[in-house]
Amino acid sequence: MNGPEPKVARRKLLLSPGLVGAVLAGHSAVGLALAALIYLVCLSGSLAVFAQELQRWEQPAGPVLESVAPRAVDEGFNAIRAKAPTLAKKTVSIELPSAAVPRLTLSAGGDEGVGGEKWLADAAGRPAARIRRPTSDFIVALHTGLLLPEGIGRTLVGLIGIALLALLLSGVLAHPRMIKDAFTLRRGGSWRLQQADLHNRLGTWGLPFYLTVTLTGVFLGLFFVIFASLAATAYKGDLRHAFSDMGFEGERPQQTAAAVPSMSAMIEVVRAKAPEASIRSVSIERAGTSGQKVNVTVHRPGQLSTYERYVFDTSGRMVDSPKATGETISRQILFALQPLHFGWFGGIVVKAAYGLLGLALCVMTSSGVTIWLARRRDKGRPAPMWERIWTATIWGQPVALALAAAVPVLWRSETAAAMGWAAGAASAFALACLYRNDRALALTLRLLTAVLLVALAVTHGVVWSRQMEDSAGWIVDAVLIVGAAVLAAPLSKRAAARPS
Amino acid sequence: MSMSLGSVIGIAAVLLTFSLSGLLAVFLSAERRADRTKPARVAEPDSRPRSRWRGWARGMTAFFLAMFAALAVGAAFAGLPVGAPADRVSIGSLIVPFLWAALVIWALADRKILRPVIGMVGALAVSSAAIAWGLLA
Repeated sequence: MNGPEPKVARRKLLLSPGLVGAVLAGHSAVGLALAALIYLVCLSGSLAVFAQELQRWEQPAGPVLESVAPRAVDEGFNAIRAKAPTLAKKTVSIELPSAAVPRLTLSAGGDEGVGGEKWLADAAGRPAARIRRPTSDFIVALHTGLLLPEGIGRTLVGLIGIALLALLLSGVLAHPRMIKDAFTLRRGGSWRLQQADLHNRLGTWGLPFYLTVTLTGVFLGLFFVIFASLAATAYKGDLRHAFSDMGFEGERPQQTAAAVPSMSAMIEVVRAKAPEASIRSVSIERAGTSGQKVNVTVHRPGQLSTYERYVFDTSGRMVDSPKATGETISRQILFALQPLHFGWFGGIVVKAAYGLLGLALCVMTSSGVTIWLARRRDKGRPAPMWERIWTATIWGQPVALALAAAVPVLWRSETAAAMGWAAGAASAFALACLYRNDRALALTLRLLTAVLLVALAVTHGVVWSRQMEDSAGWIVDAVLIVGAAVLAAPLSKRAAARPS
Repeated sequence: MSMSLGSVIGIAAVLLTFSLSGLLAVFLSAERRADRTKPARVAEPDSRPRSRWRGWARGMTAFFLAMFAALAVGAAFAGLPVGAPADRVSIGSLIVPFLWAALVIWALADRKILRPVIGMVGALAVSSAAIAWGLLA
C-alpha cells in the first residue's frame, strides 16, 4: 500500500461528482425559481445603502446644520406638537444633525420612518420645510417589502433571504475547486464558461459580505417569526418579558395628563455621562401623559450599534442607560443588525464598498440564470424568449429605477416614484417583445438608462440650482453622470471597433 | 470599556477589503482566450427523474417542512437551561436561518425525497419533545 492513494480516495469521497451534481441541481432549482426577486431585492438594497445621501439629494434646500443647541430640541418638540397634535400623542422624534445627515428633522407619529408628519427645522428648532423624499422612501420600500403591505412584504423578503442563503451555501458545496480556481477568470472563450467563471469568482470573493447581508436581512425580515418562535420557549410563553429584555416595550394604557419634561436638560445629563458620544436623536413616547418616556439615543465613536440609549421618565429621572443595563450580548446583536445590513457604520467608504459588493451580488444573480440559458443553447435547446425576458428583467430595472427617481423631480405626487418605476419596467418588457437579439436589447436598455441618468442629473440641477443649500445635491448629480458614462461605455467601444 | 460590538467594525472592514481586493486581483489578471469553439468544462447539475408530484413534494418539503424543522430546533435550543434567555434567543435566531437554508438545499438536492422528509420530521419530533419537556419542567 502506498501513501498518496488513500488521500486521493478520501478527497473523492468528500466531494464526489454525484454530490456536487445533486447540490447543483438544488442550487439551480432555487436560483431559477427566485432569481428575479433576489435580483430586485439586491439591486434596490445596493441603492438603499445610500438612502441618506439620496434623501439629501432629493431635498437639497432647507437649513444645513453641523450642530444645534439643546434648547432647539425643546423648541422643535413644541413646534411639531403644534403642527400635528394628534400624531404627537403617539411619538415625536427629533433627529439631530450628523456628518451623514446635516439636518435637524422633526417627526410625529411616524413608524420606522414611514408615514406621519415630518419637517426640516432651522438651528432654533423652527420648522422650515416639510420633508419630501419619495425616491429614497420608494427604494427602501422596494428593498424591505417589494412594495407589498408591511407585514407580508417584509416576510416575503425574509423568505427570499433564506433562498439566497441556501444558494450561497449550496454554491460553496457545488464548487469543490473554489480555492484552486480563486484567481481564474477566462474571457473570450465560450459564453457559458465566461459566465460560469464570473459567477464563481464573484461568489468566492464576495462570500463573507453576501453571508453578512443575507443573514442580517433574514433576521430583519423574519424577526417576528423567528424571535417569537424562540422567545416563546425561552420565556415559557411570556413574550412581553422577552420584548422587554430586548429593549422593546409593549403598549401601555394612556395615563393622566402631565407636563412634558425639559429634553434639553436630559441632553445635558447625557453629555455629562458620555462626553465622547454624539447624540443622534431624542424621542418621546406618549407625550403629555404620566406614562411618557424620553429616549436619548447616542453613538459612541468606533461602535457598531447606533442604538445606545438613555431613558428618562415623566419626572426627568434617568431610568435606563447602557452602563446600568450592562449591554447584554442579545442587545448588542440586535442593535448591530441594521448597521451591518446597510453598511451604516463606517462613513461613505464603507457605504461605497457595500454598494460595489451589492452590485457584484446582482451580477452573480444575473449570471446564474445566464449560465442556465447558455447551457440550454449549448445543448441545442435554446430559449430565445426567456433570454430576452431575462435581459429585460436585468437591464429593465436600472431604467425603472432611473425613472422612479426622475418622475418625482418634475411631478410632485406621492405615487410618482412608483409610477415611474412601473412605467420603466413595463417599457423594458415591451422592448423585449420587439427585439430578436437579447444582446442588442441589453445594449439598448443600458443606453436608455445612461440617457435617463444624464437627463435626471441635468433636470435636478436646473430645478434646484437656486436653492441647492446641501452640496450632496451636486455630488449625487455628478455621480449619476459618472454612472451614465460607465453604462454607455460599450457603445463607445463599438464605435471605436467599427471600420471607417 | 464599552461593549457595543466595537471590534466588529474592524472585522467588517477587513472582510470588505478582502472581498474588494480579491475581486480587483481577479479582474486585473483575467485571461483572454480567442478560441470560442472549445466546449466548456463546467460542472453539470444532476439529471434526475422528473414528475409533477415529485416537484410538489420537494417544494412542500423545502418550504414548509424545512421552516418548521429549523424553527423547532431553534426553539429547542432557546429552551436549554444554559445562560440568559435573551442570549439564547439571539444566538438561536442566528442559527435558525443557516439551518433553514441547509434544510432547503437538502430537500431539493437529495435524489431520494424520502430521506430529507424523514430527517426533518425526526428533527421536528425530537425538538418538539424537548420544547414540551422544557415548558412542562
